[in-house]
Amino acid sequence: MQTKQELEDWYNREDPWDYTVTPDDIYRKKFYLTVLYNLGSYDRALDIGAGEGFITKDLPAKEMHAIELSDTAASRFPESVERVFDPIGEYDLVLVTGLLYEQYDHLLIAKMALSAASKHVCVGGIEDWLLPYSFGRMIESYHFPYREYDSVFNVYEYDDSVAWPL
Amino acid sequence: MAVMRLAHNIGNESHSNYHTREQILACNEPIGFDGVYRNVYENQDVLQNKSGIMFVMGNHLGGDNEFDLDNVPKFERYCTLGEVKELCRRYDFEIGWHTWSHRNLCELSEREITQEVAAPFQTKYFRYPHGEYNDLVVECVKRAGYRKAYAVTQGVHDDPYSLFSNYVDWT
Repeated sequence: MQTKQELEDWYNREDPWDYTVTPDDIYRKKFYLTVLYNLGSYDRALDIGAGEGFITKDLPAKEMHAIELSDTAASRFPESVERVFDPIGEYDLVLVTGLLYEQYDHLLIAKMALSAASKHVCVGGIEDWLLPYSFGRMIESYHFPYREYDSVFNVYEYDDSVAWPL
Repeated sequence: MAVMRLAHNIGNESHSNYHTREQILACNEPIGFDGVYRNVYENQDVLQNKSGIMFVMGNHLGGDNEFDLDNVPKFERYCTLGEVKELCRRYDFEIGWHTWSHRNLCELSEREITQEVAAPFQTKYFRYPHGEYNDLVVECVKRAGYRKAYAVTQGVHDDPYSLFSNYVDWT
C-alpha cells in the first residue's frame, strides 16, 4: 500500500493519471455521469477517493463531499466540492471508483461507503481487480472497455441487510 | 411492432431530416426518432396516440448538431436525457441507443465499437449510425444485449439485427 508521502509525491504533478486528456477516462466519466443523470438527481453525494475531483465536480447533486487522503490532490478540488475526512451524515449517492481493489484498504473503504449510504451506492473499476463487495440490491450493471481492461460500473440500491461481505 | 418509420426533426425545412407536424400526424406506423432533436420536444403534442422509439446519442444529449452540419440544412439542438425521458413517460415511446458519437461503426475497431454501443441505461433497441453495419458491428450489438437493431433503407424485415426502417412519408 502507498504511504501518505508517496501519494503526495504522486500528486506533485497536476492530473498525474492524465484523466483529463485520456479519451478512455473522458469516456468513463461521461458514462458514469449519464448513468447517474438517468437515475435522477441527488441531494447529497459523497465521492470516496476522489483524487482531484475529476468526476466529483460534475455529479448531479446539490451538495458534494469528497474524501481524499492526499492533501495535494484535495487542494485542487473545485469550489463546489467540499473536502471531508469522514462521512457527515447520510448521502443519497455514494460513489467509489477504482478503489475496492486488493492493493487498497478496501474493507475500510467499503465500511465507510456503507455507513454513509441512504439510497444509491455506485461502484466502478477494472472488472478483474474489483473485489466482490455488495452494498444492497444491484439495480444496474454496465460494462465497457477501459484502457487495456474491461471496466464495470455497478449501481446498488442501498440495503444494509444484504450487503456483503461486511 | 410493425415496420418502424424514421424521422429526425419536426419542422418545415425541405430535407429528408425534416418532417412537418402534419406528416408526423399522418403516419400510422411506429416512428423511430433519431437525435432526439429539441423540436420534437417542442412539437410533442403530435406524439399523442403515436408509438415508437427515441434513439439518443450520448455525446450530444443537451447539445447540438454542429458535428453534422455538412449533412443537414441548419443548426439544431438536441433534447437532454431528462426531456427524452419525459417524452417517453408521456407518450407511447421507449428509449433506444444511437451510440455516443454517431460515427460510422463500420470504420471503427472492435474495441471502439464496443464502447460506442454500450448504453448508459437499460434499453433493448439500437439504431446504427448512418444505418451502416457489418458482421462485426452486428456481433458487438448482439453482445451488448440489444434485442433489436434498426438500419435504414438497407435493412430487411425478418432479421432483428438489421431491421428495415424507411423514412416517414414526406410527399
